[in-house]
Amino acid sequence: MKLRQAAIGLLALPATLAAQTADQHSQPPPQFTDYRIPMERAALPRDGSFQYLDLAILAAMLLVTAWIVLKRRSRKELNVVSAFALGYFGFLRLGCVCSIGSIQNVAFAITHSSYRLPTAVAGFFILPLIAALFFGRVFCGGVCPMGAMQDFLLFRPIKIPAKWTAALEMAPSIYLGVAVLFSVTGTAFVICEYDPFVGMFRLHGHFLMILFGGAVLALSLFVGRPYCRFLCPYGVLLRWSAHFAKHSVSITPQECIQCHLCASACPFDSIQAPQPISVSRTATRRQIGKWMMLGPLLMLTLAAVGWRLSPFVASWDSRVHRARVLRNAELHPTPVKTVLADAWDRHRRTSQEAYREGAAVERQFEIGTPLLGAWIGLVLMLKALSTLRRRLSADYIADPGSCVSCARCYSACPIPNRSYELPLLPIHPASPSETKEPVGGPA
Amino acid sequence: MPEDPKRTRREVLRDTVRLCGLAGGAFALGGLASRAEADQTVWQIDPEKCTECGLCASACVLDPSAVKCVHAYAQCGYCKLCFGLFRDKRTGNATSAENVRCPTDAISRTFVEDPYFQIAVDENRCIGCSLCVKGCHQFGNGSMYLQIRHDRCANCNQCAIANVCPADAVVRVPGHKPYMLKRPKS
Repeated sequence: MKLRQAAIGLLALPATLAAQTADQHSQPPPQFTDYRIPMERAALPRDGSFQYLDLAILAAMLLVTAWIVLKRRSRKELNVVSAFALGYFGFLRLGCVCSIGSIQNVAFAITHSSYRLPTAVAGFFILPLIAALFFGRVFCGGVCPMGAMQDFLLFRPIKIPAKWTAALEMAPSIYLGVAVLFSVTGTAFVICEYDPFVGMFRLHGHFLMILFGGAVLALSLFVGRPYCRFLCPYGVLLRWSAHFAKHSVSITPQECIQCHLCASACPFDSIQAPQPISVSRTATRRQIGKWMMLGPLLMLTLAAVGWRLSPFVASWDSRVHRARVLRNAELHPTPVKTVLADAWDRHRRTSQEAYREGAAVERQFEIGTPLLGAWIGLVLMLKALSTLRRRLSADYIADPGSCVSCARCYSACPIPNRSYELPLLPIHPASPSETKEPVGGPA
Repeated sequence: MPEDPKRTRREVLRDTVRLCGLAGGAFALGGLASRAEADQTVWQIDPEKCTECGLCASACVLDPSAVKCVHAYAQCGYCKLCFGLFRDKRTGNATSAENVRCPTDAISRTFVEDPYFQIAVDENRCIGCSLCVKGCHQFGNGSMYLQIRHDRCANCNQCAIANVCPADAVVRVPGHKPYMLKRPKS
């Protein structure tokens, strides 16, 4: 019997040799007289039921928020809902999963077949977008804990010059591009790493994370929802969806008297002043033509810049970094081994493998970074074109793309609220050229 | 399509996009539901790769870290002079604070029979600093090693420890097999 075991041991020697060297001080377990060797603590399986509860709560809250914003038209009730969201999704569920971060999982899952997108993450990605297709950005107004945190702190909003807003509003799209690039290459989930509030929800985080979160919170005392408007990458997707919304915030229940009170009340500059007269379009047309020519040129230039910068951007990736460190160690040997080199040796892999791995990632960046550059160019071009877009309306209207459904404008409107008798209003009022009909309600 | 005078071109376009979006969302959700049998991934430390650098204790978003020391009894040598327990330089062989390695006194030992002691790790005290793991790996059988405890782990999208781990030892593993336990070599 012992002989046979020894023979098997010999056969398996090459395989176990490597493992044996690490435990060269290995001692056999003692032969006890009356003591049974216990097992490790039983490994707890992960409880997955919470994620379905989360999804159910998310769906319910989206509907409730839509009902409150569009039918009840009540800021007070919305406050209750968003306080619940802040408590549940924020402090109880520790801010994870969140829709903003789910972008990265979706991008990662699309490009990595070995990674399965968890059901909860998929739901958190899709449900708010579907809700936005029907009710506008109700997710931002009532369900997002990060939005709630900033909104509750808003103490004295200051008006930001329109040009600044227009410029800053491009940042989320660029951030979205960066986040997708880094998650596709498997480098990092930057949205989660630089999330300003998750450290606060967990009451623990890195110094920089807390510092950034604190700065955003301090800013949100005076600037309405700075993260949502000028950084949130999920807001970009919501904005696209909300443009096609079936129902959205319609400020006045009846006829607008053009008092401007709603626009003053909106801390997010989402209310567009009346533009009833179509001004001469020749100048605008020339502008549009210019941007149509300039845009592709800009995209190409930025793609070229991205291509040049790709080795620099790739150095963020740990695999590329490791390949470079190992190469450097090979070129300039030092008596002290770096932690990285030591760790790599303990993998029992050669430096060649590290180089190959690093080079593969660098190739991904050589494709991805020019694409990111082109994306930034496209964002600039579309932003320029959207400022030239003609949006005729006789009344003050909430821009469905940037309105976060906070319900502040309702109480600002001096016209008596008889919304309960009214059906949901279509968001795009009849253009002034057409005959104006009273919509829905009693004339 | 019947001509509806109230519907402008824009509205038709809008409705089309909305329907497409809804159909796409439903399709994606359906596709996911059909794959629901498959498993989600969780983070775990591969003990074969771990270099006991100590970053697990500080890099985790939780405080204390979700990484804990696990003790594989079947692999343990039951050493009287356990280097997971004792530090290299010590005043004697008493398990007093100046002699033990663990900064939080999470490791205790009980006498079994001469000369063997059983080691136990108190997970509520353990911070995952890997000092004991290093000691046990260097001088003993390597029966102490680090694992992410899933009753604590928040299962972040991107594990903060994986970001800094020099050995790439923090990996995604399937949720139905969430631990990488050391088993005695047969």
